[in-house]
Amino acid sequence: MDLLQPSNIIYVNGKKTIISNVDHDITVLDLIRTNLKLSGTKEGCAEGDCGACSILLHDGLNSELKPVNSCLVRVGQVVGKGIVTIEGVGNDIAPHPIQTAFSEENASQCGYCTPGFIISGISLFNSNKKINDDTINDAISGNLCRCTGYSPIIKAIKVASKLRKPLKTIKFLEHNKDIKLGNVTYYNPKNLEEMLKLTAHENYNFLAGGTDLNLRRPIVNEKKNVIICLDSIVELKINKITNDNLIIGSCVSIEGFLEIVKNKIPQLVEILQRFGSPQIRNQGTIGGNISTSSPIGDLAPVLLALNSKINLFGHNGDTSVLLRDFYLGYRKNILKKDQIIRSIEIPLPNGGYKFFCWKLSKRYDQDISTISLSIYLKTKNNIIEDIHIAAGGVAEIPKYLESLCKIMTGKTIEVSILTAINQIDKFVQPISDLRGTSNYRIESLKGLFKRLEKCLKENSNTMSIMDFKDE
Amino acid sequence: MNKMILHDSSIRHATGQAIYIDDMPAQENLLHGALVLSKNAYGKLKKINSSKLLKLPFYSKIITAKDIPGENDIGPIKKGEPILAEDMITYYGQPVAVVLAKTYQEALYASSMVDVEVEVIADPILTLDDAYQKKSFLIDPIILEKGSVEIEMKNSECKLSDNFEIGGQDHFYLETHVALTFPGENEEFTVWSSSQHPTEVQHGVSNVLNIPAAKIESKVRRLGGGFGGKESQATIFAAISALSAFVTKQPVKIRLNRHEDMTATGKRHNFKVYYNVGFSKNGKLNGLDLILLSNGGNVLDLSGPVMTRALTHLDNCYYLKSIKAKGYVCKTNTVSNTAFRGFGGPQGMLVIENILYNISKYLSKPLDEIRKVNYYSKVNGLTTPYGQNVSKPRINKVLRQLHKLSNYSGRIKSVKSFNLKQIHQGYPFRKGLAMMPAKFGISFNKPSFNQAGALVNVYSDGSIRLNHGGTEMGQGLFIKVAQVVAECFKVPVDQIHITSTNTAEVPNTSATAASSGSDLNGMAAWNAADQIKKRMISHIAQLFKKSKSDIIFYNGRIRAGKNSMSFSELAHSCWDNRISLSSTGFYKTPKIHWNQDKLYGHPYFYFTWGAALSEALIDINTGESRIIRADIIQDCGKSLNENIDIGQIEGGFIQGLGWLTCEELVFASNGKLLTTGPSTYKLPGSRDIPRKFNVKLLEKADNDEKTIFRSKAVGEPPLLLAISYFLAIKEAIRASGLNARPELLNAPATPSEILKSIKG
Repeated sequence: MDLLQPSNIIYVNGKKTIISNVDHDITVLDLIRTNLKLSGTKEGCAEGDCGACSILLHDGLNSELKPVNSCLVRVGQVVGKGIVTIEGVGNDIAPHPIQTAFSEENASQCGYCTPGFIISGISLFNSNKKINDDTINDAISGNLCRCTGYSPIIKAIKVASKLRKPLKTIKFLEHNKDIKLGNVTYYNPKNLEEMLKLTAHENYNFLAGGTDLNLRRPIVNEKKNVIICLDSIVELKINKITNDNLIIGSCVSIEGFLEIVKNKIPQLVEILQRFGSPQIRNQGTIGGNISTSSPIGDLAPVLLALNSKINLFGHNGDTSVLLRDFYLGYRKNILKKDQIIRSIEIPLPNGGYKFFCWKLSKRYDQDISTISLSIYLKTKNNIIEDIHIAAGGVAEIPKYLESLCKIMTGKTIEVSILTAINQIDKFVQPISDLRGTSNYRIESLKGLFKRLEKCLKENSNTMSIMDFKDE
Repeated sequence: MNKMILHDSSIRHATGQAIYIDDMPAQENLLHGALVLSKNAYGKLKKINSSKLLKLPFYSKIITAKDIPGENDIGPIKKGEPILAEDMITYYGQPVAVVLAKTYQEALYASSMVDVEVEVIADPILTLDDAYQKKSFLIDPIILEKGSVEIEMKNSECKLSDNFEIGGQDHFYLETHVALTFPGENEEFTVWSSSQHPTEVQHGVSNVLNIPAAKIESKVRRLGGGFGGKESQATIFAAISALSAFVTKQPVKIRLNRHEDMTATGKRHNFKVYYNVGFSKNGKLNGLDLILLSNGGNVLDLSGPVMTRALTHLDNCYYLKSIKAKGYVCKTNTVSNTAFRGFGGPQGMLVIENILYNISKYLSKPLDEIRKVNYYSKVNGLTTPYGQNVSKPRINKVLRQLHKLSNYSGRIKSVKSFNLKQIHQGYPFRKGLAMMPAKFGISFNKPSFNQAGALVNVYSDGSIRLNHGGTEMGQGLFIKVAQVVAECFKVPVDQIHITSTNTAEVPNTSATAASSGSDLNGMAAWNAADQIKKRMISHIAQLFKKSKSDIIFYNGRIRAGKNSMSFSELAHSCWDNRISLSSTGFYKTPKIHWNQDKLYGHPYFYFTWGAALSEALIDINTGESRIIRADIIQDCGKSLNENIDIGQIEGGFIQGLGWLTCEELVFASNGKLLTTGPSTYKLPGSRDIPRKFNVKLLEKADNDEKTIFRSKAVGEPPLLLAISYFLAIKEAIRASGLNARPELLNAPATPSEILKSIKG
C-alpha cells in the first residue's frame, strides 16, 4: 500500500482516480456521470428503488464486489475504495458474456435500465450462490424494467451463467480515508475510541450505511459540517453466536445479517430477502435501520417479538436496554447525541417455541410493508403458555403488543386467537395512508391471526402465498 | 426478410454506450434548469419572489412566464395550455418558474429558494364525482348512441345498475423528461428532447418563442421509454428549455428528477363509470346506458381523443344492439392526464368486461357463456356502434389457438377442484381463471394524423442512410423500418444506417403513437426506397440493354441477365450517370373517415385481435394475489420482426398487470400527489410476472388490408389483455365464500381492494 497517496482517490474500474472540486452533497452517481463523464450508469429515481444507478462496490480486500445504488452513496463514503461501473464490465468491441446475452436474448428495449440489471447479474456471478430462477429474481429484485416484462432479462442472466465469468477484483487502498468535501469533513474512525474523540466536534451526524440519511438533500444543514461514518469501526462489525444468544454488531449490513442468521433463525430468511433489495441490504446496516426508528421497519417487529436487547455506547460507556423500550415516537428514540447502537442481542428461539414473521405489501419485493406481524410463542396441550407479538405499520412506532399478549396467554389456541381477532382494534389503531387503508390493516391483521391458527394446527412454518406450490 | 433480427441498439444498451439526452457531453457554458412547482392546487398566482437568489454564492437566473416572447401555450388540440403558470395555479405541482444554474445541484438548490404566493379563492376539485356534480368539464360530453336504449331497457328481462372506478397509471418510463436546447445564429434553435412527437416540439417551441418553425430543428435519437407519456407532454419541457436558451443565449438542459416528473406530468386517465344494463336471461345484451367520467386534469391535452377511443372500444368483441354512452371529460385540479399505451381503449374495454362479468355473476353462469351469445357474428351483427363494419372477426380463430396453448378446458376443472379442496380443508387460498378476448382498432381517430414521411439517401459507396418521422422509444421501430428498406434493396440490414428523428430532414410528422409507428413509417420508407430503386432499375436496364423486368435485386447484388454487380457498384454507377440517389417518401392511410360530432364513420384501417387466459391465486385472509400463469395469442398479421413483437406483447401485458394490480396513485386532500417515486408507487417487479408465461403470435395470420408486408400493429393491444388477470382475481374472489362480492372490486386490485370484496 502506498501511504504517500493523497486521500482523495477512488479506484474507478481499476484506475486510480483523483477526486477534486467535489461538494459534500455529491453522490457517487453524480460523480461518475458528471465529473468522470461515465454516462452508462443512469439515474432513474435517485431514491434507491429502481436500480438504474447500480454499481459494484469493493470495500475490503477480502470482500466480494457488492452491488449498491450509487444514488444513495456519498462520495465521502467511498474514498480509498474501488467501484466498478458498466464501463468497467465491457464494451461493444469486447463485451462481457452477460452483455452479449442481454443483446441476443432481447433483454433490452429502451435500454435505460439495462446497465443496472447487468451489474446485478454480475454480482450474482461474483457471489458463491447457485444460479436458478430464485437467486436470479433475488439478484434483480432491486431493479425495475418498464419495457420487457422481465422474462428475457431472467433468460439472459441464465444464458450468461453457463460461462459465469466473474469480474476480477482490483487492488486498492484498504481503508477509508477522512476527506473534506466542500465545508464538510467525512471521518472514518477505525475504533470506538477514535469515534468518541470525534464527538468533540460541535456539530456532527453519524452515518451507518446511509440508505435513509442519504435520501435527504442536503444531507447536513450548513452548520453540521462533520459526518462520522461508523462502518469502519471494528467493534461494530462483530458477530458472536452462543447457545442461546446472537450478538450482532450494529454496522453489520442487512445482507451480512441475513447470512449470519439464515441457519439459526430460518424464519427470518423470507422477510430479510424482501428487505429492500440486494443493493440496499449491502449498504444498509442493522444499527442504522433500528436507529432511524421508522414506524414500519421490516426488521424491528421481528426483533421485538424475539425480545431483543440493544447495547448502546457513548461518553458514559455501555448501557443496555430492551428494544421495546427504545422507541419514543415517530422517528424518535432514546439515543443521546453522542450515543450509538453498539450491538444487538437476539435471544435464539428456544426449542419449545415457535416463531412466525409475516409482511404484507403491495408488491412482494422491494416494498415497504403495509403491515407486518411477528409472533413468538409456546404452546402446551393446545394452550398458549407464552406469547410475544410485535407489529409494524400499526402505530407511530414498531410496536410490541404487550396487552394483546396478556389476553392471549393461558387460553386454548382457538379461544386465544378468536379473542385476538375480536379485540384487535382495541390494541392497534392504524391510520390510512398510501400503503393501505386503516380498515385493510385491521382486517389483514385478523387474517394473519387466522393464518397463525392454521399454521399451529397444521404444524406448518408458514402459509404465505409465495410459498404456495402448485400440485 | 430476417424476422428474428435484434434491436439495433441492443449491444450499446448492454454496455452503456447508447447515448440518451442526459448523457450528451456538456458544453462549457451549459446551464441546467430546475423547476419551481406550485404548492397549491388552485388559486390566483400573486407573486413569484426570487429575492433570495441574489444572496446565493453562485450564478442563478429565474425564468417565468413573463419572459415568453410568443404565446404561453402548447395545447396540442385546444388553446390555453401554458408551459409556466401565469395568472392562475390549477394543480398542485404545476410549473411556475425555472431556475438556471451552472450545475444541476445548484439549480435544484436555488429553485427551492423561490417563494410562490398564491391567493386561495376556492376549494380545488379533486374527484370525478365532485367535478361531475359541479359540471366542471373541459369539453362538451362526447356521446356514442345507437338504437333506443330506453325501449330496449324497458323490454329486457333482467337489469343491473352499479358503478365502479378504474385507476390511473404513471408511465414510469425509466428516463424522465429531458430536453436540451442549443441556440444558433439568426434565431436558429436545435432542440433535443425525449419526445414521441418532435414535430409538436418544433411547433410548440416556435409558438412560445414566436419564431418560424423553419428555424427550429427538433431532434430525438432515442427515448428511455415513452408509453404515451412523452407524446404531448414532452413539449412543455422542450419549450421551457428553449425559452431559457432564448433568454440566456446559452445552451440549457432541463431534466426532471423522478419526483418532479411524477408530480408535474400527466398519467393514464382514471375513470368512474355508472351503468344500467338490460339483458336477456341467457345474457344477451339489449341496452347499455352508460356515463363515463374521465379525469382530464387541469387542461384538455389529449383527453378528448382518449375519451373517443374509450367509447369506440366499449364494444370490444361484442355486438351491441343499443347503447347510449355519455363521456364526460372532467376538469379537475390535478395534473393534466395524457396519452398512455391504449389511449382510453383499455378503460373502455374494462368497462364492458366488468359489466359482462357482473351479468355472469347475476345469472350464475360462466363469463364465457355470456360472451358467446354476444360476440360479433353474422347472426348477431357485424356493425360497431360507431358504424364501422367488423368484416372478418378473428375471435374464433384466436380462441381456438388460445385453447390449444393453454389447455383451457382442462384447467377450468382443475381450478374448480383446487378451490373445493381448499374450502374443504379450511385453507385460505383460492384460484380464479379468466379469459379476455380483444379487438383493437388501428389508426389515429383523427384521419389527418395518419400520415408519415421518410427520407432515404443512398451514397455512392452503396451505404444507405434512413430517416423517418417515427421515434425510437425501445419498441424497435427503427430496426423494423430499416428491415423494410433493406428488403426493398435486398441488402443486409446492417447496410442501413439508422439516424435520429429530425424535423429538418422529415417535416410535419405525426406522433409515434397509436401503435401506428411501423405501419406509417414503414410504408413511407418503402415509398422512398422504392423510388430510388425504380431509378436504379431504369438505369441498369438501359446500361445492359435489358427490359426492366429482367433486373433482379438479391443478396446485396443486382442481376440483369448475365450481368451482375454489387449494390455498391450499382450505387456508384448511378452516381456516375447522374441518377438521383435520394428520395423522400410519403404515406397516408387509405379508407379511413370519421365524423367526430356524430361519432360515426370508419376510423380504423383495420382491427387487431388477441386473447389471454390468466390464472390468479389469492389469499382470502390477507388479500394478496399472484398471477400463476398466463397464455397469450396476439394477432400481428405477418410479423415484421417476431423477436420485437413478442417483446412488445410480454412487456405490454406486464405493464397492464401493473395498472390493474399494484400501481396506485394516491393524492392528499390538498391535491398533492403522494406517490412520486418507486418507493411509494409500485410497478411490477420480476417476481410479479406469471410463473408460467406462454406468448404466441397468431398463426396463419396476415392482414386483409394492404399494410407494410401485411403486418399488424402491436404496441398497445397486448396491454389490455391484462384485463384477463383482473377478471381472474374476480373469479377467485367469487370462490372465496358466500359473502364475497367481486362486483365491488375497483381497479387497481390492491390487497386492500381484494380483501374488501372478499368481505362483501
